Amino acid sequence: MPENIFEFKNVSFGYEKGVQVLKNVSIGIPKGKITAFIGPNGCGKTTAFALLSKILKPLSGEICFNGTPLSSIRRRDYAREVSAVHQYNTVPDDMTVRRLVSMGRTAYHNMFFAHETDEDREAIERAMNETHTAEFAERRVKELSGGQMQRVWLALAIAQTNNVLLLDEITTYLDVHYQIEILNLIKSLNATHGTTVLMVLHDVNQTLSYADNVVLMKNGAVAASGEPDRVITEAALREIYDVDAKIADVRGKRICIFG
Amino acid sequence: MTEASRKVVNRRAVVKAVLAFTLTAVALLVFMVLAAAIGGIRVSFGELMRGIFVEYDENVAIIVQLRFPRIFVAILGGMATAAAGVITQAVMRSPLADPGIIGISSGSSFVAVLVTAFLPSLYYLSPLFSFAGGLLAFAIVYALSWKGGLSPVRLILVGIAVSALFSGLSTAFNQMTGGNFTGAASIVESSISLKDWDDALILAIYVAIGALMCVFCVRKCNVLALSDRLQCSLGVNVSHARLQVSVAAVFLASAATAVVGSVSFLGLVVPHIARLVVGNDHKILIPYSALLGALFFLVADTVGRWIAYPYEISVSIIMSIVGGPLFIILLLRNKKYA
Repeated sequence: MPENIFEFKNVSFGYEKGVQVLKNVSIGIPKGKITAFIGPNGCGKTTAFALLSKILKPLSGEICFNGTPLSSIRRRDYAREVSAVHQYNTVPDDMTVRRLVSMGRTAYHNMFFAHETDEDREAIERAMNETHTAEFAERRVKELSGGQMQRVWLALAIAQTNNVLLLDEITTYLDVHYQIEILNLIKSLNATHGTTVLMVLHDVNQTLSYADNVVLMKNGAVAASGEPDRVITEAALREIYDVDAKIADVRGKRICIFG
Repeated sequence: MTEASRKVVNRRAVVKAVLAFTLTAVALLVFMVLAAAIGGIRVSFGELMRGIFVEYDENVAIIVQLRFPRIFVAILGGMATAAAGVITQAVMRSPLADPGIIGISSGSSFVAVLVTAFLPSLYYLSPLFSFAGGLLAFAIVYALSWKGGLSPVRLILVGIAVSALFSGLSTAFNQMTGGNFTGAASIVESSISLKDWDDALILAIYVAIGALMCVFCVRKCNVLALSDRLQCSLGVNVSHARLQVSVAAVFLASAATAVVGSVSFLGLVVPHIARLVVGNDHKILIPYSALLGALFFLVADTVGRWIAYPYEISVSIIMSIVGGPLFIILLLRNKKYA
């Protein structure tokens, strides 16, 4: 049994009274692994991520990070351990890639003065090299393509920390080439730094080939969690998405065919 | 484009910023001299210097006592108004948020009017009272137009209502008292024709405090441009940051209003032009807007003094005439705001 970095303990959340978006969720997320959250739209994945990034607070229950409840960790300290890429982002058009990535160092400064230390510069350079964004470091963000932009957000997150990454639908809206590129990048971060990755995915096949662990959600509850090969079954997919699916082995890889 | 040519582009941006600062500063100096020269009493530059530094000259004394403080009040008022505009826009994350348009200035102006009329002995503290009025107006606008995000339409609508309410109250007070409180009337009419060195000094003190607050706000303003979610995960306490920057914005807007009255559009038009010239980094944007604001205010005041001499048109009227159409052009040009 691997050590869990996050522990959901009977977590419930709702935006309005009586409407629960998350219902009594209790799961553990293993340290140093890639965990994928999958499930239909509105199943509570993004809400779970908002709770994990301390944007929202659970109505009842608690989430522990390395054994400490999130509510008792200071936001800035937490940001030095856990970084995130969210679904919708705004950024001033004329900001350069490097300056945006350097925002990832916010948690290491006081909010009054920004003085870039050698450590900051090192983290920024490394993040940009690892995500292959260094080649357009001085470009303005409005000149970037969707795939380049997602790599920049990822660079920002790992300049912040490569300890834990929360990635909400980082591959959505990208074409297949960039999806695979981003996923390979995430895989290599996990392999080189032991980064714990939690990501919301929509593609079952990508989940099968990139995730070590999967959390299957439906209607605000966890339907199943564990190793992808064990959790993603024809029966589970029918249950969650209400579709016919066939799972087959092709050249030693499990793939899923719908319809 | 290669990395080297990118660096050249960035160096060009630096050169552009330095050039913008220099040209604006030179223009400001030119207009200071012009503003000192225009008016009923005319003296040559030589006479002026002689009158100030060598021997007493009645005409020069009048200019030094009346025109000089007015010039400084215009410069400081313009700086404060424009800087308040930039940081209000950062907090509201909307380029349409101008302290004048959304009612902050009228809130502070109303309280300034009351204090000037009833507690003239507290005159030196009137910017502090108007700060309270500005905070009140800001709180109302913020509470009614902020729902997890800001709809620009809502902001403008609520702002118009709050602004109308407070400026109505000020005007009502002014008319009820027959305009007998000249100090109060001059705030209502945003006239700076009777400002003396005391006013310039008060404004200078409050603007200096405001400038210090701006220094501490630069970083927060830059972070506030990102989405709330991202700020949260970057470790920023968004509501704290927003509150602190708001306080600085309201302080500057109120300090200006307490002395020069409510001037709309300056805080909107100047930052917009400044953004086009120096970009969105608040480290450069705030000081440049302040400089450009000083220039705009002084030019507007000087033109107002000169165009229908011996009658005067106040800065707020000129800014409304020039700023109104510019505001509409801004709305039409950018689909994002509509």
